[in-house]
Amino acid sequence: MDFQMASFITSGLLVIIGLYGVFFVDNVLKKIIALEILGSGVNLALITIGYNGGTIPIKLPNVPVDVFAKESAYPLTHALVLTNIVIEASMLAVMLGVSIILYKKYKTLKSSVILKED
Amino acid sequence: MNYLPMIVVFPLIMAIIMNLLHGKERAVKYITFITAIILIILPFISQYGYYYFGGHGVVDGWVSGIAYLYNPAKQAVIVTLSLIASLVLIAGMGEKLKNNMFVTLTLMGFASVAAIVLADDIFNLYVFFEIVSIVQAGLVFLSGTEEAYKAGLRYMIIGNVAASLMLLGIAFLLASTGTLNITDMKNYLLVDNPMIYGGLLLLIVGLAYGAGLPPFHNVKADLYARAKGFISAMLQTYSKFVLVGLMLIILKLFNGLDYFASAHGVLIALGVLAMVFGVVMALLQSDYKKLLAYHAISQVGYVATGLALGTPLGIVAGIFHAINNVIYKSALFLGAYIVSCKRGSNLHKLGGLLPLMPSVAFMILCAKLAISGIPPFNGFQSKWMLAQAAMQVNMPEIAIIMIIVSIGTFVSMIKAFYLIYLKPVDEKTLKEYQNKEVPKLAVFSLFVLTALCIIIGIYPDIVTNYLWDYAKELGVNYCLK
Amino acid sequence: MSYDDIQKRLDKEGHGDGITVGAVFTGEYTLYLLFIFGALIIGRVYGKTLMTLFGLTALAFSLSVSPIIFKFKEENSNAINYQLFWLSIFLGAIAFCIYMTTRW
Repeated sequence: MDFQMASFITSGLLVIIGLYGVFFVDNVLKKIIALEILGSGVNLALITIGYNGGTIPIKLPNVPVDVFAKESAYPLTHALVLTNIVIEASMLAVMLGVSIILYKKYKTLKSSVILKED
Repeated sequence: MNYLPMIVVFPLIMAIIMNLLHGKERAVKYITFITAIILIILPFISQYGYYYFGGHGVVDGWVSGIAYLYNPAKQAVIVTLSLIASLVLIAGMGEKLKNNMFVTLTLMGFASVAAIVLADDIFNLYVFFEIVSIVQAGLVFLSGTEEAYKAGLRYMIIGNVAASLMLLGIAFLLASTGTLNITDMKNYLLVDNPMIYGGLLLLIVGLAYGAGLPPFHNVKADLYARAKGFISAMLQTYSKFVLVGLMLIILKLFNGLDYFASAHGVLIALGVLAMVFGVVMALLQSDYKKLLAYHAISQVGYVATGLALGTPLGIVAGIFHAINNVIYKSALFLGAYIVSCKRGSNLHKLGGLLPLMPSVAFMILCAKLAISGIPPFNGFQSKWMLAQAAMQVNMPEIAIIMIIVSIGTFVSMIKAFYLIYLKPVDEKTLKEYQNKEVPKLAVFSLFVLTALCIIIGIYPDIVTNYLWDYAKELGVNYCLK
Repeated sequence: MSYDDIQKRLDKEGHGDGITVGAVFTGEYTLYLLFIFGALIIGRVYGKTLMTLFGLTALAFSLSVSPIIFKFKEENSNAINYQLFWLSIFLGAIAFCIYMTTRW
């Protein structure tokens, strides 16, 4: 089994663990951490698509363009992952802020008590 | 100079400027009026065709760089979106609290939805899709009540699951075709492949979240119900146009291929279920804004069914119904805001408002007749085209379900109208009503929207003439045996 | 399942006037008609024996649990456990529909 296949299996396991955490665990903070694990699994899948045995796709000033194009990994997916990390960080900040407000009112972190029907 | 990217860039810059004007009420009011007027002018001065960012164009037969596509059908959608955004911004100036935050979030949402409708690049669409999700939760948090925080947190948790799975679907499509541009991707999808099925499936999950189809209908309806009245008008506009943008992209990529048949069935089933679940939940509610919110879900089901049928008549009917729907639904939500300024929103405690505001009651009655599909209003024209599209494909059961759902809509709207305006009430509450004021700017916006309902109902060709060319390019005629 | 039963049940929650009871009846008959027409169109796409089986199951299910509309309102409540349950059922059903029916 080569390196790329093992990496895809790891990212699949991370997605499944993240989905399990969101659906079945009762604590609000643990659900938010499980969402982060799901995001990490998707990021790893994106990077592994571009792997072809080459080096890191950063173009240093003393390397000519055709040597860079032959030797580096596929750089488009790395740009997508950078954007995705920024989006996830902002959503995490908003969700954690609201959880603090709800904790101050209810004094517990169980999601079946906080996010009940009203 | 091509003004097409200004439709996305100009609201974003104004949003950043508005965020810095903290506490200066008069400056916020003047700048908002000027922005509202410029937003209506911008879609009329842009040019049709492809627009490539940064000067990159087509290189060796592949598109390199981000591209936008603009044609008359998208112009009709963006003109409606900017009209509703301007009217809601004008109506929101009557409120006193946290004005600049409301304007910032509304302008960010407008820029993102315009980018989703215009997009020709699938990752750009994902970034703006996430921005719409955060903006919708942020607009609910402005209300400040405890139920608003709970509704927003539920929406963001479920939404994050759906959006991460949508990105995984985009990764599958990139891996199997090698490009992110939609015009290029169409040429490489002809051979089927389990990875392409996976990508399509996860894109449908993202579409159902963005639009409010089942199983996401309860968190969406909760979101619309907990925001203030004029903010809900904006929230449901965003959802409907996100649905139109994403469905046009799925139809452009996959329509007519023979492995698309079962996914096609899933899309039609989601639309029909959204119609019926929305109306049945609306008939059971006793809170006025939640009743209107479930009706918004039901009308999204009509648009999704029309677009998912895939024939040219179906696509025109779907987009036309989305445009009409946004107009009369925003009118109804502004009416709910005016009523809640007087007393509140529980249907069983209101009553007897007809002698106090007869003009507002007349305009709301026009909007309620428009949503049920009664002749001189615009709801009749688009529901007629939808039923014709369903009969053309040889599925009469769907046409019958559409008519039954219209009957259910009419019953629940008349129930709400009776319990708010016509029910007799005692003397003490009448004196309490007369002490509170009616916001004048909201009545002005309501008048403009009702006038549009009547004009489009009598001359529907103003809108449908723009939509036929693009629909003939995307649609495929077929017939169920 | 008559008018008086539903009116007594709604009176307990405080909204027992005539127009609300009429709205609840409309909702219940809409759900019955959705089951029947949905079974008809699925049976028409996939073949005749499946159609009779589906139609009978749908009718039997909807008439056995009656009135169906109060159970429907409870399943659509806002508590996060119900919503996440229906989301997981949706992901499984959509994967089944697209993968299995195209491999036949």
